[in-house]
Formats: sequence, C-alpha cells, structure tokens
Amino acid sequence: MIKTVRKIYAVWNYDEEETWLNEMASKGYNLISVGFCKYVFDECQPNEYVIRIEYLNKNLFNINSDKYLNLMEETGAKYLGNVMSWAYFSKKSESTNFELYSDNSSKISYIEKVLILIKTVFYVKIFLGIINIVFSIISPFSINIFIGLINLFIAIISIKGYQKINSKKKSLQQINVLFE
Amino acid sequence: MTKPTPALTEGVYYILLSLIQPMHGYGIMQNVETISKGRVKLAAGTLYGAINTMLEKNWIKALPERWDSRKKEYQITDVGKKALTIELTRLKELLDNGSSLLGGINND
Repeated sequence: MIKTVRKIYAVWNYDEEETWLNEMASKGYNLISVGFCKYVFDECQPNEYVIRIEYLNKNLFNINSDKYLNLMEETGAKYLGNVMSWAYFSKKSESTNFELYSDNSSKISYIEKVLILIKTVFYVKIFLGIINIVFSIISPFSINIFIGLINLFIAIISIKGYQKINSKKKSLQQINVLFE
Repeated sequence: MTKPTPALTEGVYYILLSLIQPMHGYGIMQNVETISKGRVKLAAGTLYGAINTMLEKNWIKALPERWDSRKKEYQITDVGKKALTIELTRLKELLDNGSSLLGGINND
C-alpha cells in the first residue's frame, strides 16, 4: 500500500531527515519517490532498505544524466529522485553497509559544500528581506512587510543551522588531527 | 629542492594505483577492495569527489568513450605517476623508520 507523507525539513536538518526516513524503513515503509515536502512510501519488510540523502552540487536539469547516478546504481543503490539539488537513494540493507562517504577528508569537503549552500540561503534571504521592507516603507498597506519579516526570520535561523553543521565539521577535523 | 607535498589519503593512493590500468568507477571500487583484502571500501561519494579533484589536477585523465559504453574509463597520467612515486618514497621512509625503531624495542 502506498503512503504519502507531507513534511518539511530545513536544509541544515538533512541528518534528521535521513534518520526519519530510515526509521520509516525500519517500520516497514520504504521511500519510493520524493517531491517538494512530499515523501511517498511503499510497504516493505522492516529494515529491508537503507536510505541516504545527498546534496549534489549539480544543475537541476542534468542530474539524471549524471555519471554519478550510474555509479551509484552499479553499487546496488537505487536513485529515487531529487528535490532541487538533493538526491535520494535507497539500497537493500542485506548487502554491505551503505555510506556515501568513506573517509574523513571527503566527509569534511562534503560538509563544506553544504555550508556554502546555507551561506547562500542566508545572503539571499537577507537581501530579499531588506528589499521587501524597503518597498513596504515606500508603499504602506502592502504585504511586503510580512514577506520581508519572514525572509529575515529565515536568514536568522539559517545562522543557527550554519553553526550546527559547522560544529559537525569541527568534530571531524578534530579526529583528523589523529587519523585520516 | 622540491617542496614537501602533503600525504595522500588512503583512498586517493589506492585509486591512483588502480588506474595504472584503465578502469571505470565501479571497477576502481572493486579493485581497491580486492587489493586491500577487503579493508578499504570506497564509498561512491568519496570516489567520485576524488576522481573529479584528480581530473582537475591532471593526475588522471578520462579516456575517450567507446560508442557501446555508457561508463567513463580513467587512467593515470605522468603527473599522477609522479605524485604516486613521491608518496611511495614517503611511505617507505615511514616504514623504514618504524620497523627499525619499533623493531629495536621489540628485540629488547
């Protein structure tokens, strides 16, 4: 039976999102496709699949033709789709454990890619927020002030998000002092 | 005097070694696992990132695609061989120092 769940995750909560998807898989709901804030599950054996999410720094329109997706499929993982630049994969858990990054330095450079994305979200939201508020001063009684405040609010919480992901990077770097 | 180069990661070292022969991505993963006797299992993201960086640094090159293949094959370049030789010298130094000093302790 197909089950659709609508849920929203902030960019910097991708780990929580992945954990939730794997909890669903452990309960017997395997992710089969994704959409904007939308997850579609099909029934499976509990713990039959492992789900991974990855931010691919790629153009939205050529993500399907990517060599990387071919490589993933050769390793036995299934590409489920993408929401913007975030790709979703599932793999049968019977085979070897399913990780996207196998060493510390590649984990760090992946986190750095995500940090750049969060920084971009911050600057875009600050910029839009200020534009909206300036417009609301020029023409009062518009909804610009609300949109502006929402944008500024997202900008502020994205700072928290940045700090959270950055602390993950720092703890990996600490390990890197002793180990590769 | 050559300036000291930082150590290669285990993954990069084994990928370069694999690419002495032309190989595609999944082939590299399997080969690295085989030659390290199952110890080093490269994940797809790690391999792909390493391939892209090494292509940029011209350590490896992508071979022209055959019409019947949708997989890209890669091979080490002379620059890559140089990096591998430097790393091998570094590893040999580590190994020599380690076995002579630690060997001394063990003999006591």
